[in-house]
Amino acid sequence: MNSMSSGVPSGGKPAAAAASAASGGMAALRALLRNRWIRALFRDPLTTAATLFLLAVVLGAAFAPWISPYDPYRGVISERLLDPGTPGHWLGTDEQGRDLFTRLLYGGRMTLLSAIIPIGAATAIGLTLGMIAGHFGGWMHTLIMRTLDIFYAFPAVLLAIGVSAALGQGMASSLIALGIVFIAPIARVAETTVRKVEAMEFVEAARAAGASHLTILRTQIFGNVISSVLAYSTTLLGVSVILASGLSFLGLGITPPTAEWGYMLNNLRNFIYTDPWIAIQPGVCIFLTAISFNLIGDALQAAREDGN
Amino acid sequence: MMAFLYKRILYVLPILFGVSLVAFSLIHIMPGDPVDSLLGPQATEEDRLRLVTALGLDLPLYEQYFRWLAGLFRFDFGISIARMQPVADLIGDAMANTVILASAAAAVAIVLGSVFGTIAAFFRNTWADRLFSILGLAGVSIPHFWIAIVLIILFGVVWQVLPTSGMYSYTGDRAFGDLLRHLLLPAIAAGAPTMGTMTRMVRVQVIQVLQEDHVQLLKAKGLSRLRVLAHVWKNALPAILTVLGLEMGHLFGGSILVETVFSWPGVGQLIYQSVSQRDIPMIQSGILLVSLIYVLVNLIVDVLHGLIDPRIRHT
Amino acid sequence: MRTTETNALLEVEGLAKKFPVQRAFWQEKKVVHAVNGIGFALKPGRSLGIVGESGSGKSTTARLVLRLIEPDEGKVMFQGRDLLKMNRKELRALRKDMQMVFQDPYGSLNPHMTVEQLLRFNLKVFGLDGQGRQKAREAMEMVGLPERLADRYPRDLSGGQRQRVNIARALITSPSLVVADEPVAALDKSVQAQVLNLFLDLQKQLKLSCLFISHDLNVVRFICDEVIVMYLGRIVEWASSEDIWRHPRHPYTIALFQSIPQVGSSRELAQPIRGELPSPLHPPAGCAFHTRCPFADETCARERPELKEAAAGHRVACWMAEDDLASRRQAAAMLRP
Repeated sequence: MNSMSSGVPSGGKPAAAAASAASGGMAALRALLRNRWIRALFRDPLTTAATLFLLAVVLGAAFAPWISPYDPYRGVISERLLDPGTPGHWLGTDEQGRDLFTRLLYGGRMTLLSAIIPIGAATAIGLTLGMIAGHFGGWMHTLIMRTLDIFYAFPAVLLAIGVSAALGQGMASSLIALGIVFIAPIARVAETTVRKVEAMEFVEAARAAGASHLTILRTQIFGNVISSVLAYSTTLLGVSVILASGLSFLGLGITPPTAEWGYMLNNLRNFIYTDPWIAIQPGVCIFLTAISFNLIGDALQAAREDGN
Repeated sequence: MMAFLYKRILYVLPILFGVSLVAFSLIHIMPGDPVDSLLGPQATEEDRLRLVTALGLDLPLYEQYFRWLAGLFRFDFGISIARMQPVADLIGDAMANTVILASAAAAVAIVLGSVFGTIAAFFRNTWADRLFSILGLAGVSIPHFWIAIVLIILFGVVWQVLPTSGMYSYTGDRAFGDLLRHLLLPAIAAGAPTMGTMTRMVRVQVIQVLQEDHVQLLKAKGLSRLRVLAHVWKNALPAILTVLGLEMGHLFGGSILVETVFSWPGVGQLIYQSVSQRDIPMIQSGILLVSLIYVLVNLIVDVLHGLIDPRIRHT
Repeated sequence: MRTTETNALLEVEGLAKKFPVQRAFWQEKKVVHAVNGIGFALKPGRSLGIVGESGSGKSTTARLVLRLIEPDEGKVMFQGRDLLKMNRKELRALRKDMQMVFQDPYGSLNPHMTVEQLLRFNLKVFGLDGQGRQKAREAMEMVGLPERLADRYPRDLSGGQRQRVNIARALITSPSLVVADEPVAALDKSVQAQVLNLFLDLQKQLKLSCLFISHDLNVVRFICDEVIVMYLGRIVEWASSEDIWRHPRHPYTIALFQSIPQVGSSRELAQPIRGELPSPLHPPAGCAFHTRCPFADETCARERPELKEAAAGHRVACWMAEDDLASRRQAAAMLRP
């Protein structure tokens, strides 16, 4: 630390502090770049583009209130359905005269939420169920897996619609519905992986050492299962985005006038014939986001397999 | 072989039972009273009571469930609250239409997916591979309701070549050609995600089989490309069938959204309308029926799988 | 079989375990008797080897003795207490005293734990992790592992080093009984010698009681004081390793010796044993070995021989070994001059 200041020409303490912070930052950056997951995200031009796009969406969503030029909920009726390229509204306006760019930015928040929250919850629940079923076996295994099979028997969209409709309007019901839809596939992957790990001798060794069930699950099984499950979960992110926007397209799970891409698409549907370049935009966003998630999921999956 | 069949069927029954339970209970979690929305604010207590008894909504839940279940076996799905017609009639027609759409979508997905995936695998790591792989990826990432809209814009607005709503033209006499014209866009839209999955799946499977020793041997022996292809396909078929079975469900589910965009008179649209109308018998029957078909299709795929791959039969 | 050792550390009686084999639910249930009536005793500070082909039930026996698998019948007395009557908690607490060294150096170590973490895990289970680092280092030193390997993962170690970790891990709680299941089978021959020597040293140094499972007679002879030979789930011969080496009495034991390539060996069966190991699903009637035994007669085919003392401290389960004179004549006939 002190050796830093000897290399700095002048300026005294503040400059030294900045220099050491910078070199610390450089070291951190270098470590980050060496991380194989980060490298995977930039492995080829397409994946890099996907990563950057998602980053843009995240940043846009996070800073939406500060970046957006207009209020997403206030529309000037006289300015409805302006074409993209109109000065002041570079992406145009929607059917109520609200600036499209602003609505899309805010819509990004909803979309990211509807990807991350259901998948996160489903992963936690599915992983737990899979570990219990795979480790304890017996009637617990049968009970859990057969119940999951029942949920597996519904086509995803249908189940999501059913649960969402049952729970009523609002974002929460669609998030819950999506979570429920994803629990079964994740739990299945978890269970398969747990059974593979259970067959390994080091688990038997832990039992021979006298460890309790909880200890074994926590120390031996969890660490060896989590990466497979997470890799699978990330592939579901794109699906969640599409399902969520599908739900709001149908009018479920959204309270107007929230800005959400699927919902916007539905509203603009009637204007396909008159203003196609406006109507198409929310869909483009959904598509790009979904494909970016998928590309990243693929890249992470490949990185995981390389590490084995 | 028969034993395998029995075992599979036995396995499916409790699942069907569970599906019916879930379908039934789903509706009863719904907030809001269907009777109110039907009768409007002017209804008297008397009217309400009569409607409630007529629909059997005053009975305890488990009784309602068994009444409903018993009715199912008699093909009595109840009366649609919104349309005051037997659900069975309405659903029968709608189901047929959805099957037409789903089959067309499946055909599109299977044909295109197989072709794309095989080409990508055979010409691995060339531009052809990249192109078709990306097509596959795009297929999986596209929201089908959006591509429906895009297709409508392209083929219905910009180039006005194809019809964009309904099953038949108003004026037409239900000719087959007319149906096909109306079917093309919805089928592509509904089939796109499945096409994507199939492309990726087929590509992976074909690559795997191509790398196997006995196939290398065949190529070394100088078998024509076509013969190798046939052989590769035979080996890759089981895995492909598995994926197909799973995707069938998504096809059925996806049809809901596509039907709404194209105003295709199928089960999906029916369910959608029923949701906003709180038409309980209709929603229940719709969900149940679609799920039943999904389970049955999976069963058939399973059995076919067992027929083709003898190893599966004996696990 | 009754044992008369009352000061034995480990006493096993009538141990049996069967595994169901069933292809599908409509087929009849078939059963494999992996272990079928085993009894032996192990005195403190002694080592006992269990030898047999794969399918003989030796690995299952090892796990039954530690109650890693639940036996169907029998008694396992460890330090005078019946293992099979304990509840889970008592059993788990007792595991501190009876440890296992596993066969597979690659699968038996959690790939995500460092050597030190692996060693300290066994300590932590029993709350003995106070000064865990130091204890781990000491254990590593005891098995000859350099200290720098403490933070390494199993994938960075060689097969021999991993087995040393296995051994260190088993010994770190200072158990009185160590069960080793083919600990060197997966290692190269050159490494095997090193690990075996380590085993021998440790055993002498720590006065361990040892149950040593192996298919390799040479290995067992080197390490163990006594040897048990198993065939299709039963004991066919039990003697001190010196006795068994000098004078094997059961035809199967002799055949096992014969199969060891040795330079200048004068021990060969006049007639080699016929056939292959019978399916454990349909064990032969009478003596389980009679279908392959060159000396079998009708008694062998009809009645199963019990394990009996043929000479002092040397037990055999063979009708041909009954009469001492007959057996000597037999031995002469069996062995080429």
